[in-house]
Amino acid sequence: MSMNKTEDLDLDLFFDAARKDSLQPDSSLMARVLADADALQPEAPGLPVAARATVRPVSALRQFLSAIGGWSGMVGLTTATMAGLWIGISPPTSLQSVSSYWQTTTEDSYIQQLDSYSMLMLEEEN
Amino acid sequence: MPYDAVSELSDESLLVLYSNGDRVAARTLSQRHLPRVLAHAYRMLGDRAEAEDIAQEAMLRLWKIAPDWRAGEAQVSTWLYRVVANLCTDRLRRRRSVGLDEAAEPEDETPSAGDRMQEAERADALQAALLQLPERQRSAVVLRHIEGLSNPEIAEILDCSAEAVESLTARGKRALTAILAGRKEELGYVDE
Repeated sequence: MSMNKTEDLDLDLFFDAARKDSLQPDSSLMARVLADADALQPEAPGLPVAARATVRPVSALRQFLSAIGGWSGMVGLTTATMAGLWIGISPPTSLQSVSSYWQTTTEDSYIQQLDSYSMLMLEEEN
Repeated sequence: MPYDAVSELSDESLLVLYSNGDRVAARTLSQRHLPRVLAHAYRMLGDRAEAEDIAQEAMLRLWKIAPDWRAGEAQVSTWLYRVVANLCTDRLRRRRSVGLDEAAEPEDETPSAGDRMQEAERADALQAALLQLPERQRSAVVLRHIEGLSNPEIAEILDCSAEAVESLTARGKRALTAILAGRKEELGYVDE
């Protein structure tokens, strides 16, 4: 037979040889592939990533600020506290006369009520 | 999950495990698919370094798509072959665009000295002959006759009909036979 004829060439021998001689990945390539897998692996299930990112511990100060309406509420509360403290330490004259009026009025009416009550009791006893 | 238990699972189950944070699943998938991905890329490109780049990129795309993998739509192996085919096409196109001077040198076709095994020499001769085929013929022949895929699977990978695959493999084998016929004697393929 002629060596140049093509019809007697069995390609399967070459394909078999190619299968047995396949290039194999070395440890370096495997390590690179696994590093990629590790870097791209999603988090274990639980809270979704987006939800986990927004759930943060809330401080007591932040909770308090939220309750009083934020920093503007804090400013108003501080102003009112300072004003009350100042009035308590050093009350204005006009405020003193008002408070003394109320004190006197209250005491008078109390006495008047006591008197009426006493009188009523006396009448019943009689 | 223990490695022994994981190694028995299907590719799709392993992708679900990987997406759920199982660290063993990626190793199992890599051991299962990386060798054939690398071998196919090498047969298409004839260059180990480039084949390793392609194989790593193909596996990386698998990790990326894992959480969105739709069960039952495609086999992981077929999907990977398709990714490799596309990446190799891009790589070969880039080679052509940079010109022959800068392209990788073809493998040395002369028989190596002395005591190389005949089968290894045949494998090398086939590889050199494959690199002379048009890209799609090469891909079809490798997938059909070395990787052992069916024509419908190859049609899915190459995005053509099964009849077109038949034609590609037939023409590819004829061309391979013609190329290798001239080297029969040196490859120890002698008439009885």
